[in-house]
Amino acid sequence: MDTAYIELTAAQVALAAFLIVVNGAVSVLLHLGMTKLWLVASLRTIVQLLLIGCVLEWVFQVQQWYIVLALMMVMTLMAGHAAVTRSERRFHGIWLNTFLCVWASSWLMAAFAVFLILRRTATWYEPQYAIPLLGMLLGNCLNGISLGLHTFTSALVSQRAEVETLLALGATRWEAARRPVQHAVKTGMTPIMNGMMVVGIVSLPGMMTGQLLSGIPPIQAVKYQIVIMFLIASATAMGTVGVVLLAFHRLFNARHQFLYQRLQ
Amino acid sequence: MPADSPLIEVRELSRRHPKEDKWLLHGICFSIAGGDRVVISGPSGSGKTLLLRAVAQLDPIDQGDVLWKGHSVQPAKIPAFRREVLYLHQDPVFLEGSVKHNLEVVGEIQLHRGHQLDEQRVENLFRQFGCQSDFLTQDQRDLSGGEKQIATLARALQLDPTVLLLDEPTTALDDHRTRIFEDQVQSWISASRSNRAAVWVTHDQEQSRRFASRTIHLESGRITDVGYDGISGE
Repeated sequence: MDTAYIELTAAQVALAAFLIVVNGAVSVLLHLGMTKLWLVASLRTIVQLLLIGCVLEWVFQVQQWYIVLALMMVMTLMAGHAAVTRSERRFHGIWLNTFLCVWASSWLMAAFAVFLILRRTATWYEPQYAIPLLGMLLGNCLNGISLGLHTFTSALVSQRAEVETLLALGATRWEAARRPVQHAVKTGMTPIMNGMMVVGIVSLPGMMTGQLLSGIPPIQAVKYQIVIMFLIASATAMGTVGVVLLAFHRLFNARHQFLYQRLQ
Repeated sequence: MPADSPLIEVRELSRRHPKEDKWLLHGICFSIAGGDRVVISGPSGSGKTLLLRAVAQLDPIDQGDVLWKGHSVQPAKIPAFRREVLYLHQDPVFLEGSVKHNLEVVGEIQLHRGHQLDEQRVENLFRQFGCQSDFLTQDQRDLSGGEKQIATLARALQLDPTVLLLDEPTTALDDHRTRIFEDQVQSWISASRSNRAAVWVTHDQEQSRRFASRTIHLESGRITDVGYDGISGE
């Protein structure tokens, strides 16, 4: 079949896999003890991607809104789960807060892209757009959310005495927690901010590279990438601010008390 | 304020252990009137610090109430209450910067906005303790534990509170400076007896005798003894 991209055969993929054998050999030679890890990581890459490939093939074929929606929900739940498990400290309500923020920020931005930018109102569920868009938003959003959560809870633990001193001096809960909140939100947004600063100079993003490989004209690929970067930046900001503020409300009550015991 | 009502009234205050089935504080009742110098004593783990923090409304309680001038304190009014009833931590905490910066930084809190540091008053206090003339400009990282306790007292007094809640405030000071600290708090109360009071947590019985007009002894989160002018009520 004549396509705009080069179709890969199993032999070509196997050739790339050979590179991992070299990594394994280096590990053996330097006694790094990573040979088994390389093997497991490589197998997981193959199996996980083949599985999602099969699922996507089927979803792309059936083109039913409820199947796309279900897949998007599963992806969101997985992202929320990953965001919480990356946080060292837990508190009552962390799961609900995190799922809510991952879901709201990613879905809102995906909807913005599908309905307002791409204008696929009647066929919003076209998996070609909805799934990769949401996937990229979720992946970046969960990074911001988990970083923000981790930084906020760690700052509250390390600066507990400072926070309580401010409260004792008559500060409101917001005045007492303002510094940790600001620090957490800034930290959560740093990766996407850094990414935006160097994109196109030191790195070509994966999505844009993929589009170029599939034969899309470079300027079109760039336009898509710019849209994606802005969507990701907005979703990350929304998710990070949301999760930190919700955590603040869980850990400081209306009586301006820091509920330190809730942090585990 | 209702006639004859004390500054603070602690009513049946109780707090449970968050994980175990036991009380950290149970059925605590006492009041603090103008001019009172209350000392809270008791063995380690008896709940002294928890009680002081509960009076300052820094921790949630499970039962009871802390009344301010005869009234319950509404959530929105808690910061204003804490401005009047100032809790001094056992281990003072300072932000990066000089002692002066740390005294001025409270002006960033909305309730203290517009508050100007009275340098003369503060320097006079530092002189009483025999601190060096450049104490105000010293970096907080260079302060000893005792010097931090002195600076904490200065930070509290310049805010003109009504009640001071002092949690073992002199543990890092030598005997001489401990006496000066006690004298400073006593003179601060004496300057306006009807409107000022202090609650002092200490393990030091001598200090309790010197300072207290009333003592409260805690054991396992319950008041087991109340005394007046250093004399046990038992």
